[in-house]
Amino acid sequence: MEPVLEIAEGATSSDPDVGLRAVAALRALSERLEVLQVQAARDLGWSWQDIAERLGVTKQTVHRKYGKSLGRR
Amino acid sequence: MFERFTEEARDVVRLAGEHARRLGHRYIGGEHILLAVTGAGQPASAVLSAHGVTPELVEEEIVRRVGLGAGAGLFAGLDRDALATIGIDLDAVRARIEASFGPQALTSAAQLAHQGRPGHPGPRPARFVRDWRHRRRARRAMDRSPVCRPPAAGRYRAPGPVPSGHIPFTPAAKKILELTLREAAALDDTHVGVEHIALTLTTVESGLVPPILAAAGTPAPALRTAILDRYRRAS
Repeated sequence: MEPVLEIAEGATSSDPDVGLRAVAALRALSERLEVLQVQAARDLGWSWQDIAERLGVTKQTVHRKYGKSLGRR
Repeated sequence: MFERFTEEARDVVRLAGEHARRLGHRYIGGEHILLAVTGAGQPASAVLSAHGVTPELVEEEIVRRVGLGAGAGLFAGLDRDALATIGIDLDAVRARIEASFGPQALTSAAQLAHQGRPGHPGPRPARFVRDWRHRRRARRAMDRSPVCRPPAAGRYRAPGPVPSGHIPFTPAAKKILELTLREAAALDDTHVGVEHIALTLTTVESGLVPPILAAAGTPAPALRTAILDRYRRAS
């Protein structure tokens, strides 16, 4: 893993330009990974309830986001 | 919107798609258009190459930043430098993801991720619409001139089958193609040529095109001036 020093820059940087970009990139990355993981979980037969629990959101939220595309598989 | 594109400009658009397929990407981004322009053998391509923006460099940068094959789409367009500032190595993330998930999972997740809203294909078009589209496709295939066109060449080729069927332009790539019309209008040109595509690429502000141009070492405004000079001399 990257050294802690480097983590001290970026999202924690006092330069808003660097910090905000880092936060935006992190959000984009986490969204992509969420798609991948939710899809994989559905393929393994996980229920929306189980997925929602791990993501720390309500069942309705996950279903609203992915229900249409991943619903019937 | 391609009615006003010259034959060469249409070739660039076609080559962009072929490059995307060859690299195993399931979308056509600004970076693929840039790669096609550099390899088009046009004056604009020569200007770009003279300033370090060679097909080899562009391809190298695309592969370095997005990767090859199915998993590439999932990570496309992410700001790797910004992630690096918080200690996240995108290559390391990608390597782990690719090791845990098969290409199939990566491909479909990438498609979902790029639709913005997870997709619904929409209603099936009416019978006559489908027939008409079918005939249009056949007609276009016939119209295509029998001249042998250069294939999209390059060093890399994604392993596995080449993505088949229709691959879409990203919203950013569509925007680039639209803006070429404006570049042509600004120069009082009635047709959109490769030079207008190249000029548009120098004004792009997001996505992979700016960092790729930056990697070549010439600032985008300087590239723009050089392209304009080249065509002013020619006309």
